[in-house]
Amino acid sequence: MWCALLLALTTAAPTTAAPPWPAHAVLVGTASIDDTTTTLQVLTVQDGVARRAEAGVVAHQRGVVPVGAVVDDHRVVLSVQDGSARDARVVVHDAGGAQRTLLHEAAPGQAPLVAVVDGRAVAFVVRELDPTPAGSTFDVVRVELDDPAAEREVVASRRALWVTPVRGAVEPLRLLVKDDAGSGVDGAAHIDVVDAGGLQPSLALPRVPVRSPVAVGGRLWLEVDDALAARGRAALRVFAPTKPHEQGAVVVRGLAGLSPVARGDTLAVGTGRKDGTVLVGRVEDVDERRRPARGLLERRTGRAGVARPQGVTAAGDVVVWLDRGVALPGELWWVPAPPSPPTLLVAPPPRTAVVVYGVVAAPPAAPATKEAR
Amino acid sequence: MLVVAVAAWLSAACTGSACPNPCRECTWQPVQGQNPSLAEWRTLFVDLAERRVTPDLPAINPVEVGPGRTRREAPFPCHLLPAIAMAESAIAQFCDNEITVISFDCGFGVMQVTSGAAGYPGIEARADINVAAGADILATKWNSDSSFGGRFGDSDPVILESWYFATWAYNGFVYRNNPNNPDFPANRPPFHSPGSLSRGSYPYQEIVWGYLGYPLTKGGEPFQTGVEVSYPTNVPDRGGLFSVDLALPEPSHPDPCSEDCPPSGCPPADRRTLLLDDADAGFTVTGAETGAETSTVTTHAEGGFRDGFRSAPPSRPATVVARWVGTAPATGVFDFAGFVPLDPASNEGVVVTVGARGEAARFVLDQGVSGGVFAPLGTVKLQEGARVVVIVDNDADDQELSRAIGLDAFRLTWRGDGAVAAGGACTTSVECAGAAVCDGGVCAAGCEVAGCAGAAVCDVDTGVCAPVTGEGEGEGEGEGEGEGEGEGEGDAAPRVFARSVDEGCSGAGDAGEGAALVVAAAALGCRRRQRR
Repeated sequence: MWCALLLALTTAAPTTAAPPWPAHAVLVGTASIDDTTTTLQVLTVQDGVARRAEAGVVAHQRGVVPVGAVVDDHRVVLSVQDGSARDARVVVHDAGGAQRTLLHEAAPGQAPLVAVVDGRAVAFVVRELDPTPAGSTFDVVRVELDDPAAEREVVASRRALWVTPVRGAVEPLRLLVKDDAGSGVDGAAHIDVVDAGGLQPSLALPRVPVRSPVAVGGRLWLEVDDALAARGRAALRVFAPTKPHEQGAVVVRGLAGLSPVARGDTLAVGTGRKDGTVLVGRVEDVDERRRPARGLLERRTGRAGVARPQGVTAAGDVVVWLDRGVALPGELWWVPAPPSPPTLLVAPPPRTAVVVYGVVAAPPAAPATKEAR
Repeated sequence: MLVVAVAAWLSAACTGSACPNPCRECTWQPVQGQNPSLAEWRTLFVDLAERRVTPDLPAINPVEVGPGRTRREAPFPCHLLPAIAMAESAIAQFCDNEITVISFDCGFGVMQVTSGAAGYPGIEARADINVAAGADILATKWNSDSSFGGRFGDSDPVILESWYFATWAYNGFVYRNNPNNPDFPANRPPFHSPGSLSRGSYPYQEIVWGYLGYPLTKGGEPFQTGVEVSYPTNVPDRGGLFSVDLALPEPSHPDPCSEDCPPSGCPPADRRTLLLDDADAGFTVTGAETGAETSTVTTHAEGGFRDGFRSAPPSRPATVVARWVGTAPATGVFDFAGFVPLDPASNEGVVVTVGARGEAARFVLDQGVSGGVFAPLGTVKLQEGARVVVIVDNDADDQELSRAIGLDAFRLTWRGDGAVAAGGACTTSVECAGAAVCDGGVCAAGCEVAGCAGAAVCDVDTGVCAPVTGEGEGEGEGEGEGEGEGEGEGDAAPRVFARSVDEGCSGAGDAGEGAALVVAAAALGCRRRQRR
C-alpha cells in the first residue's frame, strides 16, 4: 500500500492543456552534478537572442540528468531514476509541467533508454544485469503515448551485453546490439532490426568500439574508434545494409565524439577538430567515395572547442554542444543555416550537466517528427 | 490522516538517492545518529587506508600483491576510499534528519554496503564500521582478479591506477561500467571537472576517478586534495567476467598516506608545484622579422591555461622561439606536463625542451586532442633555487601548416627523489638522488662541485658543463635558439660557475650567493673538465 500510495503521489495528475512549446525550441534537462534537481529548460532563439524558460522539475537524483526524447510540441519522454536505478520510470512530461508514468520498472542498475518512434515511446529495459558472458536481458518495450489505458508491449527480448537505439530510424526500429555471445571476442557488435519475429541481425560491425549510430538515407552512419590513429580519435563510417560485410567508408576522421545526428534527410556531424565547426548536409549529397568525402559543408560556432551536434531541424539548423575541455564548462549553441549567425543558447556554470532532448519540429511546414533520439 | 502521515514521512526523509524506503525490507533498520565532523572523517579514512583497525571493526581482507600475488595487509591508496564514499553517498553515514542513509537497494551508509551486509553488523549505525566494511569488500574485489578484469602492472596496491578493475567491481562488474559502452560519450571530460557531463555519462569507476581529481566540497572546502590519476585506454570491449594483464596507464600515481621522504625531507605543499605560463613575467616569445607567415605569433584571449595563450604555425627551420623561465621550488623528481589549449593549437608534434637539473630533456606534446588539460610528458629533475627553462620553437615534428603550435603553460609537480645514490649507475639524471646528475653513466655531484674540463663552463642550474662559444650570454643553451633573440634572451643564458677541478677557484664558498655565480665565461681562468 505504501508503494502504491507513493506511486500515486509521484505521478502528477494531468493539468489543463498548456500552450505548446514554440517551433524550433530546444528542450534540455539541466542539473548541477552536486545537486539532485533536474529542471526542464525550453530554449529558443528570437532575432538572434537566446531565451530560456523553465518547464518544471523532472527528476531528483544527484548528478544524474535523465535521458529522453522530444515527442511533439507539447511532450517529452524521459527515463527517470528517482531514488535509485532499481526503481526506474519512463515518464511523459508535458508543456504544462504534468508528468504521467508510462513504465515503472525494477530495472537493476540502469534506467531504461528511450526513443520515440511514430509518436510511440520505445524503452529499452535492462531486466537483469548479469556479469556472465551472455550479458543481461534487455526488453524492448513499446508504449502508446496517446492511450494511457493501453498495455505496454514487449516487442522483443534478448540477452546481450548492451542494446541501444539507432537514431534517425523510423521504421523498422533498429538497435545497436553489443553481443559477444560468450565468445570473449572484443568489440563484437551488430545492428538488429525489430520485426514481427523479434530482433533480427542485419549488419555486422567492425570489432572496434562503436557509438552514435544513425540510420538515414538508407544507410547506417556511426562513429568507430580509429584503429589507425592514437586513442581518442575516431572516424565516421557509413555502411550500406545491402553490403553487410564491408567495413564502411570513412566520411570524417578526427577527435572522438563526432556525434552524428539526423532529421529527415539532413545529417550533421562534428569535424573532429577543436575549431567549433560542424558539418551539415543532405545525405544524398554526400559522396563518401571521394577523399575527403564531399557533400557536407562546414558551419562555425565562432568559438574554440570540439563541436558535437545534439539535434538538427529539417531546415538544417543544428544544436551543438561545444566541448571546451576539462577546465572550462561546455556551451550549447544554435547554429542555423547561413546567413543567420550562430547564437549561444546556454553557458552553464561549471559542473552543470546539460542533456539535449531534441528540437521541437515546426508543425505546418514539416511532417510530424519521426526522429528517434 | 494517511496523507498527513505520508507527508510527515516524506519530510523526515532526506533528499537524494539514498534514504530509507518503506517499500523494502533490508537486513538492518535505519538508526539515529550523527555524521562525524570533517576532521573525524579525514582521520577515519586515513586510519582505515593504513589498516589501523581497532578490534571492534570488521577485519579488512589482505590483498594479493606483486607479480606473485602474495597476500599482504598492504595499505590502500590514501585518496581512494574517500573518493568511493563521494560516489556512493557524498560522504554521509546519516541523512540530514540523522537517520541512516539506506538506498532503495539496501545499500547502507557512507560506503553503501550491499553485498553481504548481514556480515557487517553495525554498518547502519557507525561510520567507522561502514568504511571498514567497504574497504574489506574492495579488497575482496581486488583479490577476485581472475573474474573481475584482471591486473594492472605488478599489482602494486599503493598505485591508484592498480585499483581500476576493483573499483569497477565494487559497483558491479557488468558491461554497463565498461568504458567502451556505446552510451558513454567519447572523449568525455573527467567527472566532476568544470566541464563535467551528467553522472549518467560515466561508468562507475570513472565517477570515482573524477572525484579523485576533483573532490567533493564538504563544509565549504574540498574534502581532500585533488590528485592526478590516469585512465586506462586499453580496457577490453568485452562483457562478462574476464581477466587480462594490462600495463599500468602512464603516468601511474603512487598514493601513500605516509610519504616516503628523501633524507632532505619532503617539500611543503606550497613548494611542490611550479607553473610556467605565458602570462608570467618569465615568458618571452620571439620571431624572426622576416615578414613570413610562419613567423607570426597570434595571441588568443581564451582557451588556454588561465584563459589566454599564443600560437604559431609550424616552420622548418624555426622562426619562432618561446621560452618559459622559472625557479625550482624544491629538489627532486618532478612530473612534467604541458597544457593543451583549444583551437587553433592542434599540432601533433610540438617539441618541448626542458633545461633543468642534469641533461636537457626533450618531449613531444600532442596538441591534437580535446584540450583544456595538462597532458603528462614525463619527468625531469630540479634543484631547489635553480633556474628552469622550457623552450618550444615552431620547428615541430608535425609540419602540417593548418595545425598551429600552442604556446601556453607547463606544470612541474614534485613526485619524490631519485633512487640511485652517488656512484651508482644511471642513464638519466632523474634516476639520481638529491642534486646529483648522471655523468657518464654514473650519478655524481654537479659541476659546481666537480668543475669542468677543457673549454667548458659550468652551468650552475643544470649542474653540467657547457662548451664556451665565445659569443657571450646570448648563446649556449644548446637548443639552437641562439639566433635573433631580442630583449630577455639574456635571462635564459646559462648561469656559469667559476670553479676548476684543480684550483677550486672561488666557487664553493659562493654557492649561496646567486648573483656572484653569474660569471662571464671569458673571466674564468680555471681549467675545466667538459662533461658533455
